Amino acid sequence: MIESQRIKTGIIGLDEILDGGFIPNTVNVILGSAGAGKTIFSIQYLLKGIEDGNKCIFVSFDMDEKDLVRTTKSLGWNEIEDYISEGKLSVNKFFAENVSYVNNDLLNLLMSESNTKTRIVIDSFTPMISSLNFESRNDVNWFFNKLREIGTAVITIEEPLNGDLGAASISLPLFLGDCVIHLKNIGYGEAFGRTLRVIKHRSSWHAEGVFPYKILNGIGIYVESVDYLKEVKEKIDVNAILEELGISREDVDPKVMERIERVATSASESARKAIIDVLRDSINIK
Amino acid sequence: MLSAISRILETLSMEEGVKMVVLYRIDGVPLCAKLNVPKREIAPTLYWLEGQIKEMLYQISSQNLDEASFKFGKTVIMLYPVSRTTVLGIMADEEASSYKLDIDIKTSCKQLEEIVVGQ
Repeated sequence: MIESQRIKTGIIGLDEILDGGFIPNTVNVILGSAGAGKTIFSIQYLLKGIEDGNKCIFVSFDMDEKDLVRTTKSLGWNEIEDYISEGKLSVNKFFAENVSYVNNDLLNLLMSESNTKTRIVIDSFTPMISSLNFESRNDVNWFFNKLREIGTAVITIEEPLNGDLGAASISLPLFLGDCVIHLKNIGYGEAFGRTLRVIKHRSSWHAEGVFPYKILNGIGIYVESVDYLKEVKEKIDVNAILEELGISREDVDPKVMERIERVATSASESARKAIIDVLRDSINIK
Repeated sequence: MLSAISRILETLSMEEGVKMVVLYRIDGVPLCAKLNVPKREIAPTLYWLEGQIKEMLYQISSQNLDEASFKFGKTVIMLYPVSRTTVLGIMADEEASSYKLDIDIKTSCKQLEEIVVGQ
């Protein structure tokens, strides 16, 4: 997908991991335990949207406008008040006991305030579906489809401290979301105390592995990935592999060559070996 | 940082007889790995190892051990604590020069610690 068609996440270092950002009109799930940085992630996503001229909607069950302003100011993002008063950011607090995923008020609000390039955040989605079982899969899917119609959504899911992801309220959004990002904070500090991993990214390449991140005042979440991905990517030179195997480009089926070029642009460490195997296989078939 | 860690592990993985070098976090999450053998050959051992890291690191810390090792047939798995949150796992042939490897591992652990703790 052309990078300009992607929705930039606003998280430094994450777009490279996601091959350019989120795919438009998708539901993107951020999974993490308390203190992992889910709310900061959400706010960064919205701030980037405002910078890019998108309409942004923030829905929460814990935070009202005042709480959001306080949180953002603590990170040095003082402009948030202006964005709210200028109508660029809509902040809505719902009470969890009155809301379910089929709640008309919430859907009406989202639909009335959205345009074609809306960024929606529901932080957190867990209270809305905490009482659901696996039979509600279709209903959650229906709600996600509504979100996809409205814009590109980020929903956060609270990971239990015991790490059990088996409950329907956690696993359903993970199954049905288009992209799932896991934020993990083990709480002992050091470089890998906080890590980010992309569990899935439908219809897109994404980098494998865990990436350390920091939460920095003024910047928010910063993921270290760029140099590493660049280094891994630079290792794959299709022409050098062809030469090494003594194969000419013309000997290879153009369709296979197209696939190989695609693999070569990925940042997978096993891509080189895969290319060699595919080339050998292709020549043998011929 | 990831690039520097990757390079240190790569150098260590080039030692004769080394099958795999992995930097684990204490919860068993592999942070960076270099494999010299097909993953399917060592996958069961890798999964087993991930489950042991937390307990082993606890044992290493509480008993003040420099390392811990396991032997599976002709393969040895060594665990070296790097920092409070990371441990280096090395899988090698039994025949690998243990003295030389031990020195190289300790050098690598020191380099890794500087990166992991220093950041």
